[in-house]
Amino acid sequence: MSTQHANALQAAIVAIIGVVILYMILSARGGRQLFIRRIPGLAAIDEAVGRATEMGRPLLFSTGLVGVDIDTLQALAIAQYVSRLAARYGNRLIVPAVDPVIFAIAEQLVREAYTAEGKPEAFRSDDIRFLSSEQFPYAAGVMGIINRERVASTFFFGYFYAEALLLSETGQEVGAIQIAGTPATTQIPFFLASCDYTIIGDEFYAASAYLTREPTLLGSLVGQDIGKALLMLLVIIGTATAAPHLPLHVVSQWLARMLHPGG
Amino acid sequence: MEQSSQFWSRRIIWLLLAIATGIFIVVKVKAVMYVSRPALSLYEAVERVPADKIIVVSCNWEPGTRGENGLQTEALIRHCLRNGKHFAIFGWAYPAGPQLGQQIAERLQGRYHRRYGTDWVNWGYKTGQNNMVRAWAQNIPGTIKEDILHKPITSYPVMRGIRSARDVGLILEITPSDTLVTYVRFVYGIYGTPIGYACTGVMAPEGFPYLDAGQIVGLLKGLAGAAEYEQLLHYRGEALKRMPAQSSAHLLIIALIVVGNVLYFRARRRGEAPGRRLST
Amino acid sequence: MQARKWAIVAAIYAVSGLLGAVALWGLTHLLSPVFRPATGVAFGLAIAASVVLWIGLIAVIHRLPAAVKKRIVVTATFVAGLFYVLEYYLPAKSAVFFWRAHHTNPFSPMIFTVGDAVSVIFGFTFFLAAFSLSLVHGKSIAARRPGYHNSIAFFVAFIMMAVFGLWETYSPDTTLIHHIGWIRRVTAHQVYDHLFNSMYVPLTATLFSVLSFYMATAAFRAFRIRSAEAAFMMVAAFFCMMGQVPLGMWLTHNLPLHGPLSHLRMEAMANWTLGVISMAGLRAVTFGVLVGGLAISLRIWLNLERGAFFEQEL
Repeated sequence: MSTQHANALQAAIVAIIGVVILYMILSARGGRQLFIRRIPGLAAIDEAVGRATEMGRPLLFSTGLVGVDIDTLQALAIAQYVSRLAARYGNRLIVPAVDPVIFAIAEQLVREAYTAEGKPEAFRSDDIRFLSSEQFPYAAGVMGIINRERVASTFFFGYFYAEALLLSETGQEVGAIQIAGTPATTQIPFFLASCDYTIIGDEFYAASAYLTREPTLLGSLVGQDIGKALLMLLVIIGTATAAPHLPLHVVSQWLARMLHPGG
Repeated sequence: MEQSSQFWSRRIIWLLLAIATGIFIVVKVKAVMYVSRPALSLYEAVERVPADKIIVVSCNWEPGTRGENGLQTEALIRHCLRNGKHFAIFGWAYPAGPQLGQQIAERLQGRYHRRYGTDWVNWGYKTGQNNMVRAWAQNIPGTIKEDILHKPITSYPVMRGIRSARDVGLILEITPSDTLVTYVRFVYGIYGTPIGYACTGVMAPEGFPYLDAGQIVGLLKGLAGAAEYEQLLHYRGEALKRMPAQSSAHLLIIALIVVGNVLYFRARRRGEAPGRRLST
Repeated sequence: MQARKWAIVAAIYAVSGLLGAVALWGLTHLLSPVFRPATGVAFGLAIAASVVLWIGLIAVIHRLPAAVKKRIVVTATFVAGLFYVLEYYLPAKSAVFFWRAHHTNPFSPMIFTVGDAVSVIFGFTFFLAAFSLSLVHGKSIAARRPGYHNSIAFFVAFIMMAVFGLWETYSPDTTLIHHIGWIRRVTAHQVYDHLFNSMYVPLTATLFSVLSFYMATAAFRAFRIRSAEAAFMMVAAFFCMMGQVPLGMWLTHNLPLHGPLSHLRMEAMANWTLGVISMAGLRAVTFGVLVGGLAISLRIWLNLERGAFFEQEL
């Protein structure tokens, strides 16, 4: 039976980062105050929803092209926040889904948001739609919705591929205020070019912490930063000892061997 | 007024781009590509595959990216057919991928006097993603079972002796999405099977960390990568023929950026608002 | 007080994990004589029995109080995650961890079965997708909403592709039309081929091509040199774009192919920008994204997530 298993260093790194994250979560829950810098894109969500309500036009929230995944679950957490705002202002939120499971989760999520805000009758089940699990049919569907419904604000959160620019340019054409956040590094330039606010890389994972200010999420965010610092330290050690003539070159070789897949 | 000018400027730009690329349907210009190191490495990796091993042409692409991935697939399959390398077409991300690969291989096989079943086979589209790839790497006949024609794959001479990823000489992952990481994790990481990556231009930067780490042996970047490969094959195919159009499109986009900035600086000097600021 | 509380929670997780792991292992050993590969009638009966069993189980779970349902979800999430954690982090062979014969990891053989089960569960969502689409477009046609002709087109395309796709798979040579007027013979394969190659393929390729036009308008509208960083980005973009096309390569073709000056060739600068500068930045962002993914995974696995669809933690 050949399956991949972690070696001691790989397990140790994940364990240390995991413990740090859990420790910071517990710390935050214990009352420790943690600082999180302002993220303009997330701060603009309220403005975007308010603008759409003033214009009497709906909102659109796309959770990306990937099915049930960490990125999509994070996008749904942000969608939950947006749907609460939309419900509060009595506006429509259209959520086109690329996956049937996401469709089911999104429908429940948005319905509960409207109910929690005391406006269950304002929820329209037709606004939560499964379009297609294929990339370009999904993009065509979303572009059609943006044009037909003349949405005033669009939110693109999740993992996107080539359709990112198709969606955001269509939103530009109808004059929508656009906020995007994706961990897909190759699509960030396209969102930067077409959207008013773009959340880059791991700011995307900070979004739920930023919006809710929950101690658990804040603690997790700080724990992630410490984890990243640990990885940076490994990179620095590996780079500093990489030159073959150095006596500590064996450290760099050992790190490379242990961190290589299959090592 | 602003909306009207935006409406017309968009249409003018689109018309210019259509002319800039479409003119090369009529005007034939011969393009010469200087081959990059990643493309050359991939070419050499295909050349090095021993006769008793099979190359997996992993067609994880869909019709939308036919302009890039389709031409990459054609160049790679042409190389395999020309050199008599046994290969298997395979796909697990997009159902249409293996079918599109089949069309390309069927079109090319006659030119090099190769035959389906003897020189190449199509395993078809298999569901299951990561789990299926893991099982496939361990037991190819047990996981694949039937080819695209619903015949047992063990009945084909090309599949003789092919049991697991250890019998695969090279995996050519052709895709517009991030399916490479599955092969790196579950095949290269366990069996050390070499992997080549052929992706759309926009995904190419994501391939460089793997190339730098030695986890992939070579990289083809979009249409340019396909053209470089045709250059190595000394074959003037569709990719090379389309490079002048791509040159023209790139030049147009650079010109548009320059014009846009000139207008922006003029407006700024006049004290006019430049429009909504983009923020991160 | 807080520390003691969390120590107790951690202990509960550890014990449930251990019990869950033992239960998983025991269950597979007990049930493996029952679940043998089946064919023919036995296979059909096994499928039917599985469906009935699952419907019964879902019906029972549906009737339970919300708090109990939540605990079942949390426990199932933890055990499922624990399976993959133990399978990956425990070594393939260890006399310390595994006391069975050959000291092999007992979870590794199960990984394919568990993965197949996950695939089956996701397969059911196909029906949900088809139902949702039919409902939305059916309502549009029934109410004669503006653009309802698109909904009619959806049904026509959906049914045709499904019917001819299945026909192509199981009986491609079936003759549909035989000598009617000037039409000699039309088979199921030909119709499917036409639908796929003449309609689906060009339509998706067309939409991808639209991307290039949108890129041009985005470039004209958005790329402004407002700062020094933007200027650097423009220069890098110029090299990357021109270094990959023959026109750009021609600009510096007079420079030698080898030696110090070769690094100033357009394609060399493009490849250096992509392969060194861009790669380093991408790697850094990837680190952040993966650590973020680890954090979210931990929160979901250990039920530390708060939010609407995870509700209050226990």
